Amino acid sequence: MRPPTFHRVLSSLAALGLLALAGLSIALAFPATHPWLNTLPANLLLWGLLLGLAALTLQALLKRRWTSALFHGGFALVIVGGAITAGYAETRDIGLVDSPIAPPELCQADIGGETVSLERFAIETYPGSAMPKQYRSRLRFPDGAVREVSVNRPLRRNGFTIYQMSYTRGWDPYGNEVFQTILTVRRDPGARWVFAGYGVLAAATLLAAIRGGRP
Amino acid sequence: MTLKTDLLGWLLNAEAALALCGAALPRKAGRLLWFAVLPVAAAAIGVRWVAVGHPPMRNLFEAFLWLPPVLAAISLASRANAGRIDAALGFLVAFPLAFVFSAKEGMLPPALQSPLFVPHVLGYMAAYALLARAFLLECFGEGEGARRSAAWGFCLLTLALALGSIWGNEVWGAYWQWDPKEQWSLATWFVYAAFFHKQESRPWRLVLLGLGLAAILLTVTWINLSRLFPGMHSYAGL
Repeated sequence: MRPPTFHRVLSSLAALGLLALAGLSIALAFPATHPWLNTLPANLLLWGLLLGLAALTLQALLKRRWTSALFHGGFALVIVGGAITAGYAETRDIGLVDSPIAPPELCQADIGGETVSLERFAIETYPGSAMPKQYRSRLRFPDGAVREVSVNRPLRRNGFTIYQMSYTRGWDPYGNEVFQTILTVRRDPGARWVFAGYGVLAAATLLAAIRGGRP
Repeated sequence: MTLKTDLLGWLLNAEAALALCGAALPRKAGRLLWFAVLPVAAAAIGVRWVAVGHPPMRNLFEAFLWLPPVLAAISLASRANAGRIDAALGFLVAFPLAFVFSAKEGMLPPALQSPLFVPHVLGYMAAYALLARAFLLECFGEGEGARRSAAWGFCLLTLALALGSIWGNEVWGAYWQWDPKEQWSLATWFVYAAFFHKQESRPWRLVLLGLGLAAILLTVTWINLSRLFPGMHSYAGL
């Protein structure tokens, strides 16, 4: 038997890492075991996977196998982005009440050092139905700008993204119907890395397909 | 299951019948009937387009509308002698189109109203069709055709997964949330990634393409429809 080379050991480690991740993703399909992702074994797996992918990319580059290099490099970028997200992303839910008589603190929130206030929340329903077609919040910023956020149309400002997530319904002391809009405020420095990785992966698979899927 | 009896319905019934005949009849007659799906499907898409007044790409029924002609076009362009296999797949997608899905324009919840809805879903549908085709081709000894089919299928699978993730980042505020369907789609992607690492051996090709198909079937049926996996992709009623 040939003694294992540096590359072969790394390839085997990467293959094991990939299989473990596949197993993990299947295991996770059973009800929420999400907190497990923050533990030491998961981190070891992540670093093993990342180093393995980096080694595979390097190996492919040295052998001038460009498709393979793009594929493993793109995958590594996605993992880097995922790690940045896991470590540095911030998420916060805020609820703002749409009522002229509500105290200001219920209609305002601090987003990235700015006091943002709700101007209006509106629900559009399908004709002849109570089913919501779209719902949107108009937000006023300290510089006087009024911007709208709705489902599928988040608002990006100063590195923060504001999402229209849902709403709740209630009544004020006089019996009037009042809505509270639920917004998610998020800052995720890892997303751009992940999306760059997707681009590279897509290019790699397209290249592989054009070349007939040959290795 | 219902029989659709308007113009669009009869065009869809014809598509299903043509694909079934294409799969059942040998040689030229079968190929001719299967390729006849192209003009019929084009007519069906046209009728739907005029009826709803926008490109028919807004829900599952409309996404499926594009699959039989896509398959027939792949069949025409492909060098593999696989007309009957393609026709059988065409029947598998034309059947729910004609008899299971409702053609009624549904009320889409706000989360599904995105320009990324159709590329995401249609990309997956076409990828699944190509990957199922790859397995069937491999079973019938058409290794070269299977590899080409799998390569295009994997490319679309990657694009559709990425688009779904980008869409998730726009609508749910995160590009990945370990939703059951996301995890099963990722597991499926890994199986096909493994396929491209084990191409030299026919037993491995068969096992991995079969495993991938099993993962696809699980992802689109059980994970979607079962109450065991409540998740953000639970749109079974649409």
